[in-house]
Amino acid sequence: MKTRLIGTSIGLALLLWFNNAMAILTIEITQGVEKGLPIAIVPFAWEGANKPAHDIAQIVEVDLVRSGRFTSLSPKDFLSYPQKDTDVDFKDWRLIKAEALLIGSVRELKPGRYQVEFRLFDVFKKAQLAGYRYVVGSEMLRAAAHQISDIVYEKLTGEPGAFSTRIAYVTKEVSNRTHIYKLQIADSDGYGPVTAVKSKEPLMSPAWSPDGQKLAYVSFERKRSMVYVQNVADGKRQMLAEFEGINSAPAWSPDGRRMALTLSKDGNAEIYIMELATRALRRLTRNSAIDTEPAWSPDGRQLVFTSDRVGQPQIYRMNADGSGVERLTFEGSYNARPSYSADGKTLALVTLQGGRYHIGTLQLDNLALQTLTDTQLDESPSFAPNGRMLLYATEIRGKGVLASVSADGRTRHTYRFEMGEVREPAWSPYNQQLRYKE
Amino acid sequence: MVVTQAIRISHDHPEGGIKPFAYSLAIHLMIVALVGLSFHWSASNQILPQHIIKAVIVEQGATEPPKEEKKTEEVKPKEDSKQKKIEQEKARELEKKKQTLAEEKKRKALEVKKKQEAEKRRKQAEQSLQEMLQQEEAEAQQAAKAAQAASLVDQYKVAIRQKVSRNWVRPPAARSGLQCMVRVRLVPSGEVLEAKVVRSSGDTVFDRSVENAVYKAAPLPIPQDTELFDFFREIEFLFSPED
Amino acid sequence: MMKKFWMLATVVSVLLLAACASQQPAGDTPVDEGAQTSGAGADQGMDAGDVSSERVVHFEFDSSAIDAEGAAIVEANAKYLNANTSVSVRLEGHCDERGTREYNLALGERRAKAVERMLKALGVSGARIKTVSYGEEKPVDGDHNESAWRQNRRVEIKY
Repeated sequence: MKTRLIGTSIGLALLLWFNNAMAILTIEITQGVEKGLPIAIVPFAWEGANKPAHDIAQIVEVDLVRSGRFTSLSPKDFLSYPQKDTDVDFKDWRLIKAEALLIGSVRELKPGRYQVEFRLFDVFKKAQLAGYRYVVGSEMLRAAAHQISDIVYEKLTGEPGAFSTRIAYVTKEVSNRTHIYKLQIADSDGYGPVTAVKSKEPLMSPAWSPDGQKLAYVSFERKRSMVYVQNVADGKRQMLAEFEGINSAPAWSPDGRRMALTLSKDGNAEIYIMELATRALRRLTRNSAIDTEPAWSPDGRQLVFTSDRVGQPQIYRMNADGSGVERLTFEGSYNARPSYSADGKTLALVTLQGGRYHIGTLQLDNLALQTLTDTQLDESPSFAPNGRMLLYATEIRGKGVLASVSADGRTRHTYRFEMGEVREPAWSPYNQQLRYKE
Repeated sequence: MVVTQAIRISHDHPEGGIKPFAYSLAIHLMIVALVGLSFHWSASNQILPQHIIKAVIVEQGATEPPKEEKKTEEVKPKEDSKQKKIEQEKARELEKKKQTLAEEKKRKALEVKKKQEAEKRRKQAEQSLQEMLQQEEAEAQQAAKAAQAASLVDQYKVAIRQKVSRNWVRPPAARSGLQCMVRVRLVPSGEVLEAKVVRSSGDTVFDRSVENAVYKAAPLPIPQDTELFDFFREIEFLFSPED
Repeated sequence: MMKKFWMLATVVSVLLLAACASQQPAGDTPVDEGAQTSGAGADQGMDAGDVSSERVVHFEFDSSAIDAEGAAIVEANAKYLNANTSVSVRLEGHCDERGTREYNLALGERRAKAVERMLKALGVSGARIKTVSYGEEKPVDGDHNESAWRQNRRVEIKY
């Protein structure tokens, strides 16, 4: 029976062929490998007397690999080291199975002034995908490198890169028995931190304004929590909330005109919206439970927040007028600190799984919860503006550090900092102006 | 955006002018020539399998699946009818002979001549029959070979699918529902001469990943047998990701 | 459920004890000079004296319920406050590092308010009590283990 079936099917196959003599054999591919796109980054050529401290190719490589979307091939395996486009022999790169090739050069024009040039090639198409030349001062070399990363990322993934953005975070150092808290602003790779606020009392909850020009944060400098708003450029600041009780969890509305806050001035932690122009307050939650950690949906119509109204912290969503409250998380005994991805489809959150606090994502269409990390005490997840990565705080060997994870959970990276504990990272929006202090 | 000013640089030398244009023209001409050449190539190749196929269809009927047992059955009845035909011919000849013997002995010379001619025709008929039989035998063999080829082709298809899948770095954008068709031309070594998207997914990154997968999978595992290779000279990959 | 009952029982017994305590002559307790003049953050401004040297109430994880041990401490401090009516108190709520910072800030406040409620129930005027929460920002033990977490889940009673 079986052989006959096989015979028949072969016969049918033959028949199909014979009838469609002109038809081309078609092979369907449904599976691929989920890994980074293999890219070869050739160390940039250097021309000049005073070699700069920053290795552009290396900065680009770290950026790309950290995103989880690329695999960088080892220069040891390269068959050639082209420096100009005319040096490129695509065969060399096809052989080592690089899909993309990045070459470039740095030339010193005069002391402290450089010409940076790069070209990105599609190895198999033998075509240049991008090529730019910059003239920058030494203080802008890293910015140029991150911009190269952004261009390479966008050309090869079709999505904008987020390497030229910045991050804000809080550090805690102990010296002579006193604590020093700092609100820092650094490049997306953690390099070049600049102190925005320094205090002997705790600092918390940095939040970028949608235009990237301001930071809201919580400071205990007056012995209790109060919310301040500070310009990134000149450091000027103003007190936003100093009500009785706690003043915390600032979250800018997407239009930048309102601030969601958690206040306990009416006796219990509740969520309010403040019109920034008039300082008028509107209370959104009325519940004897803790309601806090508000975050706006990208369209500004809804907010998600944490509430323990069922006896343990879970995530809820409500309309921006406080109506239509619905619970979103049902898995596990602790889900908190939600924030939206830029496309509004996913929430990042902190979730307690098996006695450990992990970073997770919640798909809003089906409320599926995915855990992205496997360390413990992970907290403060913050989406990159392109939604492809999350920054969060974790603890390694008793010390608070920052780490990033790709949105699919495949690639994780720990940031290295020299001093103290690092916590509460907040990823800036796209349009944050890069500012470099020497 | 960053404060730095960027100057876009093209693949050609920034000096521009007539030189790059000339290069480009030359390359394009070369491409056109190559495409033309390859077109010719693939066209002539397609005739080969078609030839075999035609023969089988005519002899065995277009709707009959070429089962091996049936082939021999079908060949026999044809043999019978042909032999009958020949027997009838023989009988007629004999009658003719009798008539001429009885009627005229004078025309012996003519008779001999006729006999010789008849003999000649008989031999010719036998020979043509033999040829027909041989041809049919060959055709049956070819059909069997084609059936064998079909399963071999399937085996190679599986091997190719596996190798291309292994080399396909699937971008996150490639979710189920998106499809991309790429047409690939191969040389007998399995190297990819060209991989061209013939039906785009609409996502350039997905399309590029698909082309790269094919190039990276090269050389593809294809049959050494030149007749079998003809099936693989030009193949299409339908990338249809499943979650 | 059992826990809640136990809590209720504790509160009731503390209230009874407090009622007894308030009937005792106030003159027995010498007024501490430092306590009277102490402003914010003067934690060492008060000597043990008759006042309980225990000025920290501990809590279970994600809870603001005061257990028997904690209730005894609150009661002792209520006694002192009732004897020294010019003294004001600052209640600082704290959490361990587990869970999110903003949630813990609210939880710390809830703990401080639980102690405040009990002090009020024991006869201390609300006008003399200030509550503040530091959430998980000021641990007394910087380690990352159960014993450190137990120490850090607390309300500090500061004069």
